[in-house]
Amino acid sequence: MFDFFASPSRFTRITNRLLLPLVIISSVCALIGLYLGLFVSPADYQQGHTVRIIYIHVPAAWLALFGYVGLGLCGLFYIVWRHPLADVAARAIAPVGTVFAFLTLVTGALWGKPMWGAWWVWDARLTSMLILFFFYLGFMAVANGFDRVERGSRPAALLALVGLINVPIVKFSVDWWNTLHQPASLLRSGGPAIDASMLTPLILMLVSAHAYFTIVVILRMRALLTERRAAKLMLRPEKTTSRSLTS
Amino acid sequence: MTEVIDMGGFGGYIWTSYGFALLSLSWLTYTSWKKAKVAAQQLANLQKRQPNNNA
Repeated sequence: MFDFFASPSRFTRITNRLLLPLVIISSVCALIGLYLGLFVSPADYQQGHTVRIIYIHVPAAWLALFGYVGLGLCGLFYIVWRHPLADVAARAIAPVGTVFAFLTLVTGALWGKPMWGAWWVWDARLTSMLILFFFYLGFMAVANGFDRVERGSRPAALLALVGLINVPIVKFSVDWWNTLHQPASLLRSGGPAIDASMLTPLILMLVSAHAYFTIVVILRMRALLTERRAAKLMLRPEKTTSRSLTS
Repeated sequence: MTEVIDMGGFGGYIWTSYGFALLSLSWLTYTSWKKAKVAAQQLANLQKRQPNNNA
């Protein structure tokens, strides 16, 4: 199966068919989700209108986490199978995941100030999310910190794998420790603890954010594949010259 | 309208969150699209210069 996706031309063909439906899904879900979340859903009995921040905070947090799982898996595929597309996918996921992790931290702070009275607390959930953000930054620094692109791929893949340890810590930090951050409301045993009037816009925003994440990752992967093809083309004449010089 | 902007006194926090999300996602979309466009242009230029290396 991995070999099937290894061909850049096949990848481009498949993603060509995927992009338009994903754009439609993302836009439609975002428009309906934003309308319901901002204007139709009620204010929370405890949090008041600040609850509306969750319609961007929760999707951003989910994607920061899922993105990192994707990054870690790509690291594994690259280290074990040397899958050519795994490195490209990891490099494409990292900046997108970083933006979502940063968005999670910023929107969390904007929610925390009126609710907790502080922009930031060294709570287990917040701190582990900050560490996740640093892992993303670290991956990009290592992946791009070498004179030749491919030299950074292996150490960056290793770092991505190491960072996977932090993902369950982020997810379960609210259960393992006493945290100021509220426990899980969606993915919990016994079903979601949110009223349908708030759950509907939240699910729509989650669907939209997932589709958006996929679109941007596809765009970046295609750009990276094209850059690599161009780099190969640029190297060809040099090879010919060096061969002609040695012969 | 004022009610929507004010959001029970939390409008500043809520609209800043949405504004920041809009800005950061717009920036991400633009840079990703631009990166793909520049790479495609660069490849096209190279292929024009080296027609035998298109494969």
